[in-house]
Amino acid sequence: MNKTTVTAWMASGTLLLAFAQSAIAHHSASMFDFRKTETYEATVKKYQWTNPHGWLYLTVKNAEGAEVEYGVELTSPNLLLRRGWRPTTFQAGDKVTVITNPMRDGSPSGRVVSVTKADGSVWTER
Amino acid sequence: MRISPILTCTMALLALTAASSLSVAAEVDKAAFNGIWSGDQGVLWDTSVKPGEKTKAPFTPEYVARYQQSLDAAARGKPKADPTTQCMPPGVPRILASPFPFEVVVTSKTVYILYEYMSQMRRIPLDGSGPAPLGMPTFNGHSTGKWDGDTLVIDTIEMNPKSVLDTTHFPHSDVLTVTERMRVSGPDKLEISITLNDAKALTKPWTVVRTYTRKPGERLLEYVCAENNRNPVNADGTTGFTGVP
Repeated sequence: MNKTTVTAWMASGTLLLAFAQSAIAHHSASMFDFRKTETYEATVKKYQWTNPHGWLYLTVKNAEGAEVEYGVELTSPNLLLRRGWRPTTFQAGDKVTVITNPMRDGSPSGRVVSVTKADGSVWTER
Repeated sequence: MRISPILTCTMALLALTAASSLSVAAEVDKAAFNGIWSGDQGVLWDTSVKPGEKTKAPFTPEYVARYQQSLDAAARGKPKADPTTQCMPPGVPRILASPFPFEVVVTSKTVYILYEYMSQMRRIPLDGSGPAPLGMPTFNGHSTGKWDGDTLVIDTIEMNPKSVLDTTHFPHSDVLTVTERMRVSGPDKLEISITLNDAKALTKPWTVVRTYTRKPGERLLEYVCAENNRNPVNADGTTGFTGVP
């Protein structure tokens, strides 16, 4: 490969996109569309306080009004802890409003942006 | 000629002061390295550019192509897996860019660095002590250290080429060697200048600088990655995802 071609490779715009997505450091991060957000009114089904990721499983109403399960990926509980989250922060049955970056493929999962509880408290990881 | 006693005394005093100043300046406060530190720059390897800018790393043509393949896969939403996908450790030098804290412990013969992420430990024997290289790659490689004035110099060889340097899949080869020059640059600041030497991947040695802030009162937490890992590796080497309920 000659020098000009090397320069062309390096100037590729896809480098920029990948760097933008790496603000959240994770191997699966590019599965989420960080340019979009979605908001759901939901009920907590399950809250997992585990490495490498915490999880919130929610019951949400989809566009047709049917109840579906939706998975929200959180960061490591090590980092959540330092942001004030606890294993007891969410309980099954809690009513929450959640904002997520959705999956690119449209499947019912997303990366957390914020979770707001009925008491008004807002939970973020960054 | 007779030299006055006062002059002799004064000269002796000056000489003594100069000598003790020299020895104080040469003595590094090794205890200042001890403690828990947390990275300032985030997880991307090339700290010389802003997130979103293309890397300045002087890749060889083969490694430009290899890196571009990884970036293209990620841009399509089908990122390639790396060892951490399966809870294998990040290795050296990627662990230096961890978003989790680490603890430095300096003893007279060895420096230990305990990393929260995946509970990794590096043991760095000082001044030529310690075992010989294994002659085979490992994730954290084989490190030796020495003091150079106020700087701890760590040389690492034999790193597993399966590992990458960050989440963009920044690559290295099996001939990579890493030199860290680590110093306490302020009361609560650690600075590490990290030079990569990789004849297959880089056209010349290349250095980035990372800084870390002291975290008094912090504690290293446990990190058991295998507890709830949702990212299997597909047959084609891309990262799977079992997050959907």
